[in-house]
Amino acid sequence: MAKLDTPLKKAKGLGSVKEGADHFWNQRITAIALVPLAIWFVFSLVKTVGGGYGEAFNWVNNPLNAFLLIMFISIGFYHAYLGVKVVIEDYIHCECVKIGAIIFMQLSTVFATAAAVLSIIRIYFEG
Amino acid sequence: MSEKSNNKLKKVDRPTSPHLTIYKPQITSVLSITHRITGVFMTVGAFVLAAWVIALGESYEMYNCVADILSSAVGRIFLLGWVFALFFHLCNGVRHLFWDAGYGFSIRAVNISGWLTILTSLFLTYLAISCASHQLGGYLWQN
Repeated sequence: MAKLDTPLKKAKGLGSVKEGADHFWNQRITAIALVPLAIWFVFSLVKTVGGGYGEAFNWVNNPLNAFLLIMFISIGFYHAYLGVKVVIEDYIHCECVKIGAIIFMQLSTVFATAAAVLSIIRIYFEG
Repeated sequence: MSEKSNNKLKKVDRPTSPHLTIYKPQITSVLSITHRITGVFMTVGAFVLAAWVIALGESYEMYNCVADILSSAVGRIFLLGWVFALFFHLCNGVRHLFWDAGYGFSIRAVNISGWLTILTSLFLTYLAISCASHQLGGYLWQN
């Protein structure tokens, strides 16, 4: 996407001089990846309903499920961060609250992703 | 613009764009705002999913604590909401991807794809819920 940036635009600080094109592109790439992952997630997880702790543990303990769940959670949180960032930019007009909310979203999604992925890896190796 | 006329303009309480209060709701605008609402709602759901998987890795007791909350009446309503939000956002997202590729911009096409989004997401939600119901022996709201 670097092709869309011109030196003049960078110098003047106009248009997508920050990360607009990258944001757009990453949002779409993650969206495409999430289509099959989300369908898998719902229709695979729903089969464990009513099975309690054991059924849920075995579900994550399966190598394919663990891999796909890591993909779904990490790509999903990144896609969520990109989406919520736009919503914050659109509706919060006070600059300091806006920046604070975006930083909070970025840190909390990264934190939740790391904690969830670590937990999946623990469950995978416990089996 | 002079200071004086600027002050004059500020005093008039005009409706502000995008005139949401006076616009007739249309399938295009309703689905657009629903896309945002479902996205933000699912972000909350993603944190709940993270909490669920962290509890599952931590201990049997902690998992049961999270599972009890999620299987309560309120929990089930939220889960139903997240499943619908996921399928709606997914279907409408595919619609957006077609637009990004340059297809489906006519009034007829956006109306058809809009209704297709609603019907498909309702159907997929029904499918997921009936699978869950089947797992619980047909008693989704009692067990």
